[in-house]
Amino acid sequence: MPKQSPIPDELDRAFYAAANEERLVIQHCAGCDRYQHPPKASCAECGAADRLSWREVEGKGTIYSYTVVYDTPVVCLQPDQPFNVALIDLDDCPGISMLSHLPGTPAGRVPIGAPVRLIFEVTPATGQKVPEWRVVGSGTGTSGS
Amino acid sequence: MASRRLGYRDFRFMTAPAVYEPAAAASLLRTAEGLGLWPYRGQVAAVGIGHSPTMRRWDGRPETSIGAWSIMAIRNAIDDAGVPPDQVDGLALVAPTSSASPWPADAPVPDGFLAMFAAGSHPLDGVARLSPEWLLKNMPELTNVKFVLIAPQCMSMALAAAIEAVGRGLTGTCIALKAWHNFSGRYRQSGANARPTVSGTAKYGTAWAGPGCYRTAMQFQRYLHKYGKTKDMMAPFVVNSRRNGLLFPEGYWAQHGPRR
Repeated sequence: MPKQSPIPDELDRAFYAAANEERLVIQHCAGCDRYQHPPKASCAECGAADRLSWREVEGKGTIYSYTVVYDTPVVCLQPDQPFNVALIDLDDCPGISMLSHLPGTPAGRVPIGAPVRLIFEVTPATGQKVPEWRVVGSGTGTSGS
Repeated sequence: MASRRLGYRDFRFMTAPAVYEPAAAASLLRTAEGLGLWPYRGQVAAVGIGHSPTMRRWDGRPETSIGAWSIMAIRNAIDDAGVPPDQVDGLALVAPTSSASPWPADAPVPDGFLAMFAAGSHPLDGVARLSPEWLLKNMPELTNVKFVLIAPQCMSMALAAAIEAVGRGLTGTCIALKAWHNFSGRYRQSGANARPTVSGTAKYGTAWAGPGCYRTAMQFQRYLHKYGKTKDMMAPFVVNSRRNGLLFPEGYWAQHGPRR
């Protein structure tokens, strides 16, 4: 599903460079032994900037929740309405979640709690790749209330 | 409008208003953890409130412009507070007045507006934005404003920063204003949302969904899943919220005939 191309900045350049290599890296604080995402200049817990590093994580997650967007103001998403927006919990990174359009899953047919695996999508404007997630197995579910 | 009624400090004002731009205004917000009880508890009061009418979109008349209705709301708040206008020495406001549908590029300012109001330094002052300078020029009764605060983003920040400023003695009687309107066209379809690229924090949120309400919708969906509910069960809450909303006389639907 075509999305806006993210423009990397000094905070997340490593995240997007890894995405172009189809790797997922998440910021990690050695002092607190915790992950944080989106990237920040310092640890949101202890405030340390010099203890942050990037850790590659496995691309496994679980669907925490979702919604269906019928009317978005983001112009490049409008041709695909209605579409899913799901919140994915990363299995390896407690407390870290990412958004996904769940490619392959029809709008509103999102199985909350189902496992998902990492893929990467190319965004059209710049070619920047971004992490995406696909439901493991059939890709459809019964939830839709 | 917030006012300090107890323990008012003698504060030496400059002749020109001291202006707190958004970054400085943000320093007045209590965003850190562990600050404990607010030190000015019991010393600051909200003493008046004022509204303008509401309208779906501006009809182009100067008397219903964002500037005119801001002046009306401020005067209503001053009346409600029961203070003389020259007692007001502080003004906190949010400068942008529309985040959804901006003033059309190159569209002229209506002649009637220019005839009715003193101009600010920006040609769209009072039409598509609001500056303290424009307000003070067009509210001659506010002769004593020495403290001006430009709050970031929204009414809650303007009000919270104004309350803190009164608490600190930067101002004694402060107006907090948020003016909001829209012009023709679909909401939020221009600017960053229309670009093929995205920068800043929107990369991790808005760019994936658009409307800010998606987060609330996901929380609701999770609630339904966790507790085995259906969205139909939300109906009593929705109906009651709508009923409560119509009790607010300044609300749009209260003024414009709700569909029943």
